[in-house]
Amino acid sequence: MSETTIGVILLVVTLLVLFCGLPIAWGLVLVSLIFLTIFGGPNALAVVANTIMDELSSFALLTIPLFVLLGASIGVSAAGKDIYESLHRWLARVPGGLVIANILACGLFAAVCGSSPATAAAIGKIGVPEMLRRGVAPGLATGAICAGGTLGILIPPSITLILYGIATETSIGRLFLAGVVPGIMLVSMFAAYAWIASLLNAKAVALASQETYTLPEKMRGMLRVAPFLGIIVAIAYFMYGGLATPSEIAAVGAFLALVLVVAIYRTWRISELWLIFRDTVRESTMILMIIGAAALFSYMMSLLYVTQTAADALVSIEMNRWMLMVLINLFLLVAGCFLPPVAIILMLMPILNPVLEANDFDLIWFAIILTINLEVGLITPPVGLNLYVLRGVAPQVPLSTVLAGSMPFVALMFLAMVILSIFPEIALWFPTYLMGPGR
Amino acid sequence: MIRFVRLIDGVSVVCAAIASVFLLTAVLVVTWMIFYRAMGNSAFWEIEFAVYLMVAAIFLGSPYCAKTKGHVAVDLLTEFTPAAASRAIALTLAAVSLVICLYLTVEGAQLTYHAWASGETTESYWRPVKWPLFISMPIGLGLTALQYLAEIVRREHAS
Repeated sequence: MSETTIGVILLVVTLLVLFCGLPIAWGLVLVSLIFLTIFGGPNALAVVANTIMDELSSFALLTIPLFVLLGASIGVSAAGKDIYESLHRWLARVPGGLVIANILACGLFAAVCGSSPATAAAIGKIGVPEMLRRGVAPGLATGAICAGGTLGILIPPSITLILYGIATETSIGRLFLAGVVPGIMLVSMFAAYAWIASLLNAKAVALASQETYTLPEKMRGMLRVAPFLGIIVAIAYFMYGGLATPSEIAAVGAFLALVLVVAIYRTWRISELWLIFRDTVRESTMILMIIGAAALFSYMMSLLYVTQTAADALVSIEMNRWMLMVLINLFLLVAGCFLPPVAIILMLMPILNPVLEANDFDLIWFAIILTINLEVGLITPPVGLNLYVLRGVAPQVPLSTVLAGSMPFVALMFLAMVILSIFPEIALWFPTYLMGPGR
Repeated sequence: MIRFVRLIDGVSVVCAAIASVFLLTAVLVVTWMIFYRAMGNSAFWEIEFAVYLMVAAIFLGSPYCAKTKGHVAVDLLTEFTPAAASRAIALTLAAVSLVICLYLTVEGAQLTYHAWASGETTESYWRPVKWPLFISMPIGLGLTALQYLAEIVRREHAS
């Protein structure tokens, strides 16, 4: 049987197995085992455990549980509420100020958290009830958090970018830096939309002018956020000063966050710490099991020459490179609606990497495009993880309202991708400025 | 039977607690290493030790992850099927997950045994033996398989 035929069968079988509802990690292992047994020759199964173990025992992967721990510690503490409160005090008189405060809080939280649902949960669990209580339109309120959460994987640290760095052998520090400016750009675009949408709504304008805070009140709010900003500065200092590798920074960040929540927020009861660690263990295991399984899957694809055949076929297509980029993005968009970013990056990047290089696309730039693209999948059904988070924090808002509220933000994400394609410097100048050209 | 389910649930939570301690230890070891190194000393065992702890933590976390439905799945099928059918699907999925975890448990156990019997070490300066790294795989996934068995028993018992 030719490699192309095997590739097509593999695609169909993988989709079938995953759509049955088998956990993605086990599904990938199952498909790998089936194909290795049928096509891989007598000894293909001998290395199954070793392949998974080799992939997992890497210092770079340690970044993931540690960044998850960093986000979880701050997420469980009252820090989310503090950031959000202090931003709200400054923005109280702006139409849509409450929504903007939520979006900015998501952006700030994203700077210590590498995961999108975790960001949406941390800010959303306080922000959404508050916005609804104060009469913000439910669609706008939930849409803003849904979209704001996706900033978690664009603004560093980002688990998606870490995996991309591992899969494509690009510098994780460089990828993180590349996410900064596009992240700020997306936050500004989201905030501008919330402002304009509220200006057009007479009720929202009336709502805004009711509250005032004195300057001391505003400053007090800032003070409570200061230690939290300190962690962001410490992470940035260690990482961009070249003092430590991403995994080491993740450890220091997690350590500082734990100290912060214990010392300032007095979260030292075992039952409270258990919440932090329980969520960390659960999420890290989920991500790393998929990574281990995806390693086996990639090994199988490569052994059966499916990876190489697919890449060769894509490279040999005579097509305008931007047309190809649009097609790749459409494919990622569909894939992103069903699979989490972790699985997509590890399964597809081995195929896409040579294609991007053959067509002269910058791998760092593509990381940002890919991340924004996969973010869209996080807020669209059927497997939009952020939607589930919203269902948890605001069960009274119907899913259709959340979705309708998210759509303008999705449109802004597409716009951001177009802007980044026209001006790749938005993503690239910062890493180039700090680290020089390279990958 | 229900005692078996409770026992397995309890074991999963205990494993998650051990995994938490391992992760915390990894955080402390790496943080300590950075300061130790900044003082001009050289570090040699810390990184590898932290990786051992992480690998153990994620495999030990797996049964808890399975218990709390933390392993992400595309659950489209069950959303669009009638209740009776989706119960049957859930049972089948738990059974398939159980078989996959059992298979990986056996493979992991063999890997561990070979590493133990041959005294295999890593290739670093520290050269720790590898079997303690590998053994977390059969333990963690074996318990995950038991957790899926407990899920099946729980469902049978409830219906």
